[in-house]
Amino acid sequence: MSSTLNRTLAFLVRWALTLIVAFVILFPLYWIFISSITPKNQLFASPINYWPSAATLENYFYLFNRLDIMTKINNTLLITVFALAISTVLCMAAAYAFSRFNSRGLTIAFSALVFSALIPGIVTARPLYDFMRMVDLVDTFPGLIVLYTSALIPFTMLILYNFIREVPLSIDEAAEVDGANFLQKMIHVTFPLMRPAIATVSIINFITCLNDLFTPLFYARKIEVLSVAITTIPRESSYQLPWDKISTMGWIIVFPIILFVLVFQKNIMEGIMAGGVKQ
Amino acid sequence: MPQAGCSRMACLPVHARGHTVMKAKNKLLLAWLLVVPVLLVRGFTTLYPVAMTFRNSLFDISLLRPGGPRFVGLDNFFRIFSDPKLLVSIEFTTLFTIVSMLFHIVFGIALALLLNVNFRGKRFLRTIVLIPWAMPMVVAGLAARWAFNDEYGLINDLIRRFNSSFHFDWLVYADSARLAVVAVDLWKDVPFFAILVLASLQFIPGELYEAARIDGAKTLRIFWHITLPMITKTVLTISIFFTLWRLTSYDVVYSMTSGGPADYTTLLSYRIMTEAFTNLNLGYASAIAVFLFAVMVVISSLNLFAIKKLD
Repeated sequence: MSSTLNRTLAFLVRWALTLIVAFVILFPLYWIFISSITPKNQLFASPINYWPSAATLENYFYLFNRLDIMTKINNTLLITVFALAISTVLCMAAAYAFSRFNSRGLTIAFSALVFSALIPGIVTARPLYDFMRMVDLVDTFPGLIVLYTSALIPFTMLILYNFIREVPLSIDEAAEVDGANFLQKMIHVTFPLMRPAIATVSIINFITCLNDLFTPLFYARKIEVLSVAITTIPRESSYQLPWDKISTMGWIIVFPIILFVLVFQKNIMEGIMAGGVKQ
Repeated sequence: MPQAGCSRMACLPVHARGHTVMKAKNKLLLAWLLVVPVLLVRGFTTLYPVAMTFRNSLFDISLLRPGGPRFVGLDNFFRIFSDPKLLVSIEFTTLFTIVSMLFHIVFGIALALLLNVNFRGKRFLRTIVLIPWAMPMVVAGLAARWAFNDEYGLINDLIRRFNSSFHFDWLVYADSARLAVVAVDLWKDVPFFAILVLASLQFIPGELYEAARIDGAKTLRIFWHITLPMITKTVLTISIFFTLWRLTSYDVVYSMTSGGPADYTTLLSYRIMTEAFTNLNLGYASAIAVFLFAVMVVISSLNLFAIKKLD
């Protein structure tokens, strides 16, 4: 008797907590969405109408036609794709070297790489900016790609290294017996085995790139990415936030992310847990 | 990590033992060639600028004043402690970090326990907690700027459903603005903290719980005597990173309050960027950055010390 009671109680507590968590996380997002399609005269009204009587896509047209959001989406994707590709290739090569060779120098280099993730952007920002300006890389795609790539390296390195270490050396040795040299072994034997790790790393890194505000904010001006674009939406008055446009822009950013999370939930969980920490 | 301290046998590649030393050296060279690109990229974007920041902190460099950099020794550092704006920043950064971390740990563990329960809502929960982590802080921050608005904001609207005469402009007053900043920080990052704690919860062997149940232990006792001790080390380790991220938080304040009202929510990193890029006091900005960096090192060391003590 008491065990059924206990079970009912546990059931209720679980679902009550789940509902609370879901409400806290999802309701603000729903509010952003609903704000983006609410006509202006209903949006700036109190109390909030959570089920507006009319819907409009006016804000979306404004953003795509007048503020040219498409260019900003393209900028974001271009930088992200290059940074992902370059950091993965560079880190695969390095991870291979770290895992197959022992030397004190390499050990130090590896630790330095991983721990450099803890150096905050604010400590490096101004000198790095001056350096980038000196070599004419501020506000250029190559410059931004280098910075994004650099930011991805520690996490990518850690995950790929941990994975590559699990690839048994006997596979390498078998290839060596077959006459494969160092590079052939690396490219044809070890790398194809790394696909799952590369997938996980890319998914997490993609999110990291989208989330980065600091880098594009300080190292670019004309090249706008999505995270910066939402902060530069023109204001009609200095007192009021253009919430109609900002909520729309916010939803344009958040909606694909929600879909992405739905599709890759498992990989993301694995990636986060494998890396211990992002950045 | 590659093993350190190999013998004077010139650190042979793992699987090349027995080959000639000459060949081993060539291979080691090749290994370094593969590593050098990553080192160069990281070196130029972290090592070099950090060194420059340390150097600049000893100079008076103002781009608004004619004349070049002037060596001033530790003057910039002394200035930190007599600058009222900076003291407010230090105060808020400390409060923000401590309060936010306390709630991260409490809510993070609680949420992790919920995520670890086997029931039908598990997959749904594990999916939605990823959303705040995956979205940019600017979006959350800007939405919060509007959500905490007195007249049209989400927060007051929800409160008014219960108390229709409630009116309060959160971001106008220092204390409530600070509270709001912490709340948004928690909304965005507690789920992430919870996922990392969840990873360690999954390592606790099920037999431990079964044994405790058979002995008749109650849920709360099991939590205190089995679960908590098993995850303490992980929680402390995660806390190092989360503390460092709190200390260097920038996006939340940039998008949500711009440091206001007055300077009451100006986190140190926001102050540093204002000095470096708006006021163009490069020397002073560097000194604050070095100061913050030192604090980060001290806190991490203390935390590492606590973790070592646990073993």
